[in-house]
Amino acid sequence: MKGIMRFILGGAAGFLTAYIVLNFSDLDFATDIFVIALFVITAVLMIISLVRYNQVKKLSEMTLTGDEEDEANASMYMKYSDYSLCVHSSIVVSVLALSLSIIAMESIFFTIVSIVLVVINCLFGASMFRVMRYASPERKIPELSDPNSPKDILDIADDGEKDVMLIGLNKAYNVLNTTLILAIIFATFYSISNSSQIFSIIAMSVVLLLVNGKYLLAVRNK
Amino acid sequence: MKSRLKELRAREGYNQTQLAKTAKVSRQTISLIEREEYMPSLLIAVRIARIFNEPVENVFLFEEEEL
Repeated sequence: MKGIMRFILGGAAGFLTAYIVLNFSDLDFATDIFVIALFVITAVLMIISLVRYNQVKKLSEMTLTGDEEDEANASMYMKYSDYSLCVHSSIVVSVLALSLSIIAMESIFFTIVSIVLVVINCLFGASMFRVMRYASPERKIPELSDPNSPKDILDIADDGEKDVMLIGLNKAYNVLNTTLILAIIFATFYSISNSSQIFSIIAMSVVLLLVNGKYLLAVRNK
Repeated sequence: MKSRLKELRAREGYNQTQLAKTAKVSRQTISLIEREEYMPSLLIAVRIARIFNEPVENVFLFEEEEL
């Protein structure tokens, strides 16, 4: 049943995507509604991030023993992963909104709102290390200002976690190749009839969202 | 590879978090080993076996065709 539902939903999503891509230049592209929709998506993702941040903080402050401690740790890991996924997605969506506000709308109001959202999302991104400290208080999480922090994060992960990361990266790599090739093909078709880069910007954002989502979901669900 | 980790944890009264701290690994790694989704390195396997005072082959069980 699940497989059939996935098949139907996948088919519907594929048809919709193909239809939009093939008719993109003919559609009355309502940029303002699209950008507002992106603002709403960003706001929702930011609210979820805030909720997850508080949940991780609360769980880290609890003193538990036995199976409850394990359950709390597993839950904290999931919530940290959700926070990470929401922040990464939110950054991409807000940058896309900023690009569209500048290029297509030429609206100062929308541009300012977009910039504010990008800045707030970057601050959320910077808080990732703090959330990581709540989730793993026994580890030496590097400072954000440390230029070697990405390498240090990898160094403090143990073999099991590195194995999970590798599986996630492999899945993301495969998605990256497929989606980038599709994006190039669709952008080529669209560029023949229109020289605007908006389609390419949207395609790149979708690729980023898919790759980030694939990696972070693979790591989350392990 | 199968492991008796869950059974041995119950015997010694460890939860995953405590075992992870003692074996100097993450709780996620212990959970992955228990779910048989990850085969630990020799070092981690020996550390875990020592915690339970068992030989490694009594903690991690291999089928004949795996060897």
